[in-house]
Amino acid sequence: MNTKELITELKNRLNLDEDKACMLFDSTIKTIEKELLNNNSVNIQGFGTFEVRKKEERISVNPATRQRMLIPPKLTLAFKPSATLKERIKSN
Amino acid sequence: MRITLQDLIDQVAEQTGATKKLSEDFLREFLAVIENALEKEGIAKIKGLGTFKLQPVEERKSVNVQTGEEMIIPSHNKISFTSEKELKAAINKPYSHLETYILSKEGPVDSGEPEDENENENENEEEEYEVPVTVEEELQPEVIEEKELLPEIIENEEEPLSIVTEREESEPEITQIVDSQPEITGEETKPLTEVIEEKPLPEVVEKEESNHSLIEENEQGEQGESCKNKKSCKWLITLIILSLIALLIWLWCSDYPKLKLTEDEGIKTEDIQVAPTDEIDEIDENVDNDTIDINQFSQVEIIDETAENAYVFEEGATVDSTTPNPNRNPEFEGEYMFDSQFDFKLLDFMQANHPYMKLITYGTPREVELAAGRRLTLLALEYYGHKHFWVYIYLYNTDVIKNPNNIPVGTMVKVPRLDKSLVDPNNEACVNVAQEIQRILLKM
Repeated sequence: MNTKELITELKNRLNLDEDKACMLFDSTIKTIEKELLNNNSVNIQGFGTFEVRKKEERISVNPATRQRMLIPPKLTLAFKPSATLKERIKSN
Repeated sequence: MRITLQDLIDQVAEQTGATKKLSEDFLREFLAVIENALEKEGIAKIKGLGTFKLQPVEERKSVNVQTGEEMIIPSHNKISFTSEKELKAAINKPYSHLETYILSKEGPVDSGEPEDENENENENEEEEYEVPVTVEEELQPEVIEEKELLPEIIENEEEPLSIVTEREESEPEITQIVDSQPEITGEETKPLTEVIEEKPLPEVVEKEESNHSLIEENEQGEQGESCKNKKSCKWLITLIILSLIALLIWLWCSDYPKLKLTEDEGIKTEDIQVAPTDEIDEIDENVDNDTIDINQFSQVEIIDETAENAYVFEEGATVDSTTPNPNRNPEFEGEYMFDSQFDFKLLDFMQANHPYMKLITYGTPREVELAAGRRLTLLALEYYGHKHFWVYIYLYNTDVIKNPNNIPVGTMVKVPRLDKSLVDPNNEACVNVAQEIQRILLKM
């Protein structure tokens, strides 16, 4: 499913017009993004947690050339599904 | 801090003006739809966030840690989430200036050794802007000195005007000013550069009706003076004509900013040489004004007057020889000025590998103070669009930056305005050249 289908589905479920649904969707995504950029983790009960994690720098070796490289630290976004969602998905 | 669903609901309601009820319904449905899609289709692509995907996990054997009993974990699904590229980049922004560093091949691949290096590397990076006290103490007086000199320079710029008119009163022929000027300004630090700056001013005033009241006053006095004297009138007219021609030639040449043209021109007559410098000064001022309007970076401190004066001061320091050498004046020729300690091997490399490379600076460089946590790479990212171009900022500032890996907090750095053909973040060749320069610099 892509965003378009998601918005259509939401529109139908909530009896909203297209613009309103789009606006709410954009606002939701922006809010999540903003909070993540502020180094906050977004914890949605029953769904999961979005979290910014720091990957430490590390040395990797190219096995072919044996060249060693220092990979710099980086920040990544991680999603950890909640237990209920995990359970729901498991049996599929 | 943990943000909960309730916080999201509140914020969304606030942003969209929707009721909290609607906002809550929307968010709950939003999540429900995603869960449904995952269950049914196994994939949910959310624009602006990322992709949720179901991933099958095969059945595997495991051991119960407590009982030591063997057990089988049945095959199941798990959720994988990949964030969208833009979001990824935005989140990694604090570290975006860092890059993979190739360690020397010779180093042992033991498990112990690399960790040491790892630590060293870490230190280097972390301490980039930590201040060694002694260095700072050494550096700060310099900065203060420069600031103190600024008023002097302003004075110097104003003084010559009155001197010019004085001279004209006593001596009808303007050409004599050139001869007599050095005597008068002899006490000042840089007589010859001033002569160049002084001479054209009255002419330009007459032609272009500057708003500068001081200059206008001088002009009036001068006009009265020149009308009294027919000789000086004639001289003035010929000078104006000559400089007009020079201006035209210069304007024509400015379309092709090649060194040779302007140099030839400078050789023709002294009068002609004078006019271009004046014109350039004016253009520079215009450029400054424009760029200040354009420039909306909050961290940039551009003080039009001081920046320019600082530049004049710099010129005075470098163009110290008996003849004003236009080639060494970066504003005049757009030629890059290197510090004397600069490694000319590097320059050779740069020219050999990028024959069309124009190290041309436009107008006065932007002055930026390096606060704690600021890095050259970040400046380059901000102003040129790519972190690798930090090398040009460094090369331009070798007088204040001794070690690019350790810059005292508060250092004033000049960010030169460079030709797009040199710092084009979308051009791989540009990036490669900068990278190569970086490699050479780091070896030095």
